[in-house]
Amino acid sequence: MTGLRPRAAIAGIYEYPYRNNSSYGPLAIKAMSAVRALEDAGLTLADVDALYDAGEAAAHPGLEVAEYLGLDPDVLGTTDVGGSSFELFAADACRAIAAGEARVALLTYAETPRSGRVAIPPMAGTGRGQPSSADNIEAPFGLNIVANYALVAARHAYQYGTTPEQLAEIAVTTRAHAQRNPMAIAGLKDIGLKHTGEISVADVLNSRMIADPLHMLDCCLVTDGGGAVVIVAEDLAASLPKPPAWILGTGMAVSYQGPDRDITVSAAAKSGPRAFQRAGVTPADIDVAMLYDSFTITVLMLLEDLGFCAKGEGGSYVEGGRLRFDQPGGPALNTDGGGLSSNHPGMRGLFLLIEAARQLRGESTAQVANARLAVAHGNGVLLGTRHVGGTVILGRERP
Amino acid sequence: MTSRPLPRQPEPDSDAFWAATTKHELRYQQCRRCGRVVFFVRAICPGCGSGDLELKLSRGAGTIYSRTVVRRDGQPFFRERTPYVYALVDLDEGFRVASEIVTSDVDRVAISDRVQLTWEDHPEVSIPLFEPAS
Repeated sequence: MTGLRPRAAIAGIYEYPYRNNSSYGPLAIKAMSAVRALEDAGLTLADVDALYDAGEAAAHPGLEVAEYLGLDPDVLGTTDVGGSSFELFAADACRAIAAGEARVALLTYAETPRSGRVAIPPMAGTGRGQPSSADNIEAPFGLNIVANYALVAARHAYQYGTTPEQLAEIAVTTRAHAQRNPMAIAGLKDIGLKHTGEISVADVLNSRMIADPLHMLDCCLVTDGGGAVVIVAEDLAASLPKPPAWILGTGMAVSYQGPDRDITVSAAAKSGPRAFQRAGVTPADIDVAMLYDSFTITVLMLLEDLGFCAKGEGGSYVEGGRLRFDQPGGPALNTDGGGLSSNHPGMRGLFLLIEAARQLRGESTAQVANARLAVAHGNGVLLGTRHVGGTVILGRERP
Repeated sequence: MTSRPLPRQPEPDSDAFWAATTKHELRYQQCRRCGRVVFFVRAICPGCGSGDLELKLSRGAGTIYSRTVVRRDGQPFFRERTPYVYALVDLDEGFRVASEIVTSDVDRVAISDRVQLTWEDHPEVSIPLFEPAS
């Protein structure tokens, strides 16, 4: 599909506000979010002809969501590659729209690990379903998610001298952005955080070590959450209630283990250039970077791999508050507070698209002045062993 | 009492690998057609697609590619084991494995350290672990 210039835009968004509330289950939250996001786009359920669903809320991806909402989709897309699923869905929706098979695509998401008191489920089929050779050699050593990312952080530190202080800068910036987002702060209180104010580098380093070099405050939250995104064809985008966020280019790539693999390089090193090339823009043009912040190391790697700085220079790049929404010299990072300080139910990719659209509309609580271009990059499954990267470049002006 | 999660068998790709562990043999594959070293064991060479893979014996000597000290774990067996060293080890034959470094001093284990295979025996399989090379 290289060279295709899909003319599609995010037209409707909705984020479910609650982080710890058992009043509704995931399917209900997805459905309510769908209705609100369609209202935001000036559309109704009857307008939806393409449905995208990662299957987190019901047995058969896409099917139960369609039934619950009474949809009659022409196109059903049901990828589950963890947190990057929604960036892949945005690309799929663009292709379906470009092919003339759809005009209104609906993406929904919800999980309630906090109020449901369920652990983040084991990764990628491990311990479930059919055994596999890879699972069998990995499971005996534990499947500690933090440790998986810590291996990447430790190797990055070894190769490039990246320090815990530099990683902490990322958590400090996202917490500062969360201060401006009432939903994030209410959520931090609702999940029982005693200190919901700004944090310092020292606070991160003094928080409990989970897996060296990652501390508690290097790790994302575990919250309830959900939302919906509506992507529409060009003719509909012309008459929206809200300014459209045009999808200018997308890219995806996979990454997995191998003897020669450098684990300090993620799939974004391939998906990013593909998306930027298709969009006809460069990292230097980007005003807002919505980067999957499962852990601080994830963001640092993505900044390098997407080309905001050279490989190995992420540590010095993030110093000095460069990524704050009101600082020059770099994109604004995760202006809603991110997974580190706003919400992380398990697959955060949808919220990256939502906040990118808010910024291009001028609706963010940490609004970048005159934001014109945003990148949303999801990293799904596990950074250290196997993952999928999905990059979406969005713009305020019609391509 | 909790126990280490063990491989689930039967699993056709890896049954021969696990059977070898009972003899304290760490096996890996090498493609007879293109020479590629393959790990985890599987039916097809990911380099050339050949199904002609030789199950070879590793000497069990390697170098730590990355390591972390796990200090918190939600799974009961590993919670009791904290703090423990979880690592990626590059074996001298050219394959990489995730495993645990058995040591009384978790803070001294470093990237690039040489390590040597050791085994933890269970009734049906043995689990390959590593310890600092003497």
